Amino acid sequence: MAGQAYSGPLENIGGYRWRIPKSYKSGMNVDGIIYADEKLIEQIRHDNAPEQVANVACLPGIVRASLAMPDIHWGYGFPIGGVAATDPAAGGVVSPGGVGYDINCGVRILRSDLTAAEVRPRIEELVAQIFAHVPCGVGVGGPVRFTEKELRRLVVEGASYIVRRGHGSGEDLERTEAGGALEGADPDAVSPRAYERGRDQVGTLGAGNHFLEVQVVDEVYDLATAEAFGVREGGVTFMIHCGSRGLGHQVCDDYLKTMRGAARRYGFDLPDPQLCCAPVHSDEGQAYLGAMRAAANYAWANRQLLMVLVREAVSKVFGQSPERLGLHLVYDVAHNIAKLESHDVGGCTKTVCIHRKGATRAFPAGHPEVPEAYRAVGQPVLIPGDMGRYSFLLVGLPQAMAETFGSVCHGAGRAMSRHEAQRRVRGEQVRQDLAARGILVMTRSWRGLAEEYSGAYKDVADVVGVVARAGLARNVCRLRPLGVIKG
Amino acid sequence: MGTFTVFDHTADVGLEVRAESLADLLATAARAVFDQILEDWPDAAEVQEDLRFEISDPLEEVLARSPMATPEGDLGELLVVWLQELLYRFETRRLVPLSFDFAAAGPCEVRARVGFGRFDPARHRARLEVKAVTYHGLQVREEGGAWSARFILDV
Repeated sequence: MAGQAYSGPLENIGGYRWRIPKSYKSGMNVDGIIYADEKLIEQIRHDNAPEQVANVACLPGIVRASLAMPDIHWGYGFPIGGVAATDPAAGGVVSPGGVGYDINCGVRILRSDLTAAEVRPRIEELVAQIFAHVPCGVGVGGPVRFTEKELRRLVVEGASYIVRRGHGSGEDLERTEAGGALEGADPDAVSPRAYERGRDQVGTLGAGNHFLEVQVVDEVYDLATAEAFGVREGGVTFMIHCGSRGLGHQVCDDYLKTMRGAARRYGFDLPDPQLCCAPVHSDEGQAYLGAMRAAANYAWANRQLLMVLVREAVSKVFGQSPERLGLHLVYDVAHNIAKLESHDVGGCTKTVCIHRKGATRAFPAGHPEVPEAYRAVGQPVLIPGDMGRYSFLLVGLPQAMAETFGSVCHGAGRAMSRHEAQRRVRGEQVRQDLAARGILVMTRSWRGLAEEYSGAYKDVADVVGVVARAGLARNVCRLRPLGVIKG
Repeated sequence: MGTFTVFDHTADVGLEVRAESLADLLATAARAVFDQILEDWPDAAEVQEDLRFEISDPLEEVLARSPMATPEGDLGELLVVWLQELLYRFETRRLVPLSFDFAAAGPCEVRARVGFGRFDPARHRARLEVKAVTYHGLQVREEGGAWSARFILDV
């Protein structure tokens, strides 16, 4: 359980990797491997998340290892920050718990020609305009109420559904993971209740740890790659963190119920019922993948529309078109998803079902799925930190393909419960502290803000540092918040 | 109405509920969940609705699935489905449960008339968005007439 410290083995095998040998627990098919340094591994041990890494290693058909990133913490069945690939041809499974409730929660960054010097004097106006323009907060509906018929198309087309209606461009789709839509989405696999929950939430931010940020590129570590990505020191960027909203949450709910029975029918002996799963090549597995892809596509449509709303707000404040302001999408990544990808497994190229739950794809230079504009340098990897510190933009490296199925961390990871955070700080104090550091926050919930204060999170620089030193991705630049919008 | 407390969980919200009957446990659990969501509650119930559902999986499935499963039903599933029904109405119609009149509460079914108030984001502040009620660490127990439940909300 969370709250207990992990007392099992963690062998330092070098390269910032800690192994849980498969002999640790009956049923483990592969080792567990956690990426961390000495400092982070002690936090990780305290959370008992390594026990979940060992449990995931018991999944039928899992290959190479049950992996975890340095931002790992306790989740439901799978740890947050976990990566697990299964071999469908060998009966490998897919598990809704390996994706999570917020299917395709992810991040996108826009670059701009604006500078911090231009934006700082107008930050109040800018943040207020974005806050007014972008629906955020509990119970706040989006700009469009879709019919089920329209949503059934949207969940197949993803971000292109929004672009085709004049909101965005082909460039936006090229610079979105999977082109903004996974093939194989099945609108029939999404329940009527999921459609009901999602009908007025496209173009909404929601609440909790979702946010919009106005940022400045305050340190560049890799000038050539930063240039390729279109970012420069002193330039202003806009980051959006959001997912599939109620539609995705309902899909996960629906298929957890399905999979709970399925796991037993297939004779799986799982150490944790939250790891419920079914073979990828089964009716249940295919149904879940069809619905999950639909929810993922909904999330990409959501982030596309959110980005359009941000562009409109920025344009209004500075009195120029988004094009004149250079408001181009750098990239959009998912960090809760399951995908079929080709990877080297034991010297053979195989199609594996890879679960990234709180983990981000990080493909290297030359990979055909990296947009042509970036293929010479590699895929942008967006790692948001907490609102008081910084976020990072990295680029994928070949070593990630070799070790982690092209995956890295997704963010800072929580270090403190929401309840504890509420005991320590008040939202108004958090607002004042941030203002003193030049960060303006607008939110619909001050209590919610308290739960998101910096002290509740690990330092993302520590997390990213491990990923970089392990050779999985290279740091390109650091982004500091100027303004934060939360629901 | 029974009582509830929040317990620590790294990323989400854990709730422990105590009551003197299963019906009271369900009502208190509902109150506990919406206490996490809302800072301001609607004043009065404007909508009355009947909620009715059954937990009717094959006995074998029920028994294999959950430590709380009994030949009479799965109380954990009952609690989760009850709360999910309420969250669904909140998310799609902005309805907040304020009063409960149970015709049946467990072991396999719930029949209740629920009085709902309307949540208006322009007037009412909210704190948290609950994505789901999870099965993680789910417990429903009865000992000597005292009922308790523990569950975690994904937020």
